[in-house]
Amino acid sequence: MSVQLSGIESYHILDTEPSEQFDKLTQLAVKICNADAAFVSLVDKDRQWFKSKVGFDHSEAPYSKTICQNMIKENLSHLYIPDLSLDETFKEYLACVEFGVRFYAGFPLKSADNSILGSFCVIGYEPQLLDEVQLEFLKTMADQTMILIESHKLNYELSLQAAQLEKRRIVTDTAAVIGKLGGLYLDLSGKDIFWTPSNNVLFNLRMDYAMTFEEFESGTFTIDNSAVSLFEKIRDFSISLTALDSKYSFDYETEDRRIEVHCELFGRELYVVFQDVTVEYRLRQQLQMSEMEAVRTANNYKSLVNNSTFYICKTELDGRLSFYNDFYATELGMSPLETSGDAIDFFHSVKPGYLDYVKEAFFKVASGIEPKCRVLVKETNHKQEEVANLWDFIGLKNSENELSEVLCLGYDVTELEENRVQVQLLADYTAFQNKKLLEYNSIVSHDIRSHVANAVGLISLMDLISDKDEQQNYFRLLKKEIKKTDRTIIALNRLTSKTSVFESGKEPVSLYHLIEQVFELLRKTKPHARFTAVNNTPLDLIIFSIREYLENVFLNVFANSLKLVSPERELQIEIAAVQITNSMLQIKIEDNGIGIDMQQYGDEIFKIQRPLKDTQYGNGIGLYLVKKQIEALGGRVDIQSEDGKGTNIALEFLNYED
Amino acid sequence: MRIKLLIIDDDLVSLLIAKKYLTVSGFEEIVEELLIFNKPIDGLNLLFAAEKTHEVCQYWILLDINMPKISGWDFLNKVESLNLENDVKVIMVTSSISEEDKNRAASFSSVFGYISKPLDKRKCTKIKQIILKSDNS
Repeated sequence: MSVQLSGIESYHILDTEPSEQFDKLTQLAVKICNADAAFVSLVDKDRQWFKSKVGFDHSEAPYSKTICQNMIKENLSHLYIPDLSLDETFKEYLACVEFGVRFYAGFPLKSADNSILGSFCVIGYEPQLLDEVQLEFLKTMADQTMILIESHKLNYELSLQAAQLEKRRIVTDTAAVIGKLGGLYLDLSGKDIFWTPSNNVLFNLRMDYAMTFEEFESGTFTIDNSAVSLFEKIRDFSISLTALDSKYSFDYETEDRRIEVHCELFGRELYVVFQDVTVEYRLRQQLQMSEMEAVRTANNYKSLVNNSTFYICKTELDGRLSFYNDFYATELGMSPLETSGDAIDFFHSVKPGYLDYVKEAFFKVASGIEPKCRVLVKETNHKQEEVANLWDFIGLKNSENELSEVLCLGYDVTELEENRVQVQLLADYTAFQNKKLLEYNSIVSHDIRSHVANAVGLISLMDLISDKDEQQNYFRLLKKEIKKTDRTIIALNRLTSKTSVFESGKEPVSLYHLIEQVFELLRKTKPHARFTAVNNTPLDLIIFSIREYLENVFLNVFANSLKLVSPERELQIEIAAVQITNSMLQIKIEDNGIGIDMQQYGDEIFKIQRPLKDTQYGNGIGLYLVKKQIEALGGRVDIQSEDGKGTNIALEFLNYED
Repeated sequence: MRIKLLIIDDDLVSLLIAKKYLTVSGFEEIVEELLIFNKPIDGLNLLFAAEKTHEVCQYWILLDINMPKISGWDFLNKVESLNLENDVKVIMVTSSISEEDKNRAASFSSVFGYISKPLDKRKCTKIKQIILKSDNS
């Protein structure tokens, strides 16, 4: 059997501090064996080191010169020499010669694998005998020592593992703190608790605090902050009857954190995990806020886009609509029945007469020639009414800076257009007023002046001529001229003063009956006139006006028709009335007479016919009066005629519906 | 040169006054004939008729502006558009005092004078001067 000396390093015992446990054994051995000294030696490569020693001070000895070395080398069960001086081998040894040792008894320290680590020995300075019991005792001491050595080795290994475990614990704790995780484990039947140190960070507790099972069980926690109620909740859960094998989670707000708590009960074991979700929670709140903000903004834009004033749409470069707002869809979009699945194009509602014009402007923008363009477009809306819209076309570029879409912004200007027309009407009236003033001036300068000139001429002739009869004649002519002058002035006065009277006398007038009365009057005053009257005026149409003026107007218009009768056919006068806007009534009077050559006389129809002195009622001044009276009633006259075919006169009055 | 003087005016009193003053002012000495027309159309007809006879004659016309059916302007337009062989020269005699009429009259090449009514001796002398001056040049 081979003896192995190596392996002593694996026990990590060499050069360690003295140990009471070993020393007790050696002291006991000295007493039991009545020896002078005892020791536990361990064999290193070239020395013998004493783990325990009683009776001498050396801590080690050179291995090659020791008695133990002899015993170990020979693999002896023990070595017992009562007197070294009598032994041939040992009497030369250092112990004997140098230190005066005469007695030696040693037992080897054998490990489980039979290798010898050292020895347990007693020595004396006098020769000594040991009995059987003493020797057996020494063997037991050697075995006991070996157990201590093995225990030392195990302790050492355990301490290493403990250190490792401690490192791992520190890492785990650190990770738990950094990861903001905490935990609690409770064995409710075993009354055990495991408290994760990172909890102290999560709940701002003293770093040396650890919850005890008693604290938990009694519910009186030695925690000095609000976290108490959190643990009370966990405790309530653990003792509730329904909690068995169930989970329970809740959020908990501490002074500075938000903690998610997850509890799970398996039988009588409770696992609790704490997770600090403060950052996530704040982020989530911020996210929700931004989300709400985004939704609000989106709604704002949506409400802007879906207004009831502006049309907003986008088209592809070829004019196909890719987006349109609700207002566009309801006013100008196609009805669901008409939409055939194909994308509708922007031009679908444009009136044919405007199509080329609109397309030209649109494609200028779509092709990049112009960045934007504005057009006034007449379109047909969903009610099939004509509307006027002002459109802006604006080219839109994509992220590659290429023209990709056209933004179309539209505004309904129908009302503005109508206002513009009315303003134009007003301007026309004003221009007419002005022209009338000029005509008035012209009447004064032509007609009155001619009478005065004649009078002056006659008077000068009366001076020139001496013949009495002739003078008498001139005097008679002079009187005539003055009378004519007077009549002209009266007529002019009547003409101009009438305009200011009308405001007072307005009343509701049934147009149909008024026209019938005028025809009757015409038949009575002109019994020889042959004509047919077709009165298509609605029976229920009431206009708010001055009866006498209206009578005069129609009388003059019909009289004009009677003057222009075609020799080829009997005269027919047809009248119709229609409310063309809510403030404008149009009355159309059509005859089939010879008409008026508009190119030759167009400008002069409404002028006072020259000369005024030949004027009979309704002659010469007739249409002038018509225009004047209509104008006084807040309307206008339009005349259209084709030579030989008849005359159409349109009278427009301001007349408000209801 | 033979001169014929036409007075065209729809106003009978005015014609009477004109005739009286022209006579008093000695127009018989410079004109061969004094013709008076109440309707412009009659005056025009005379001019057309004279064309056909190839009678070489200078016509001076005292023309009113404000007349029914054919006004003085219509008359002037007609005369100037016909490109008559005979020399037709016009002096406007009108009751109008408007600047517009005066300017309009000046735009016709055949108008040589603009006299406001009523005629008197002084104005007749002026007409005489216009006629003689034009004849000499």
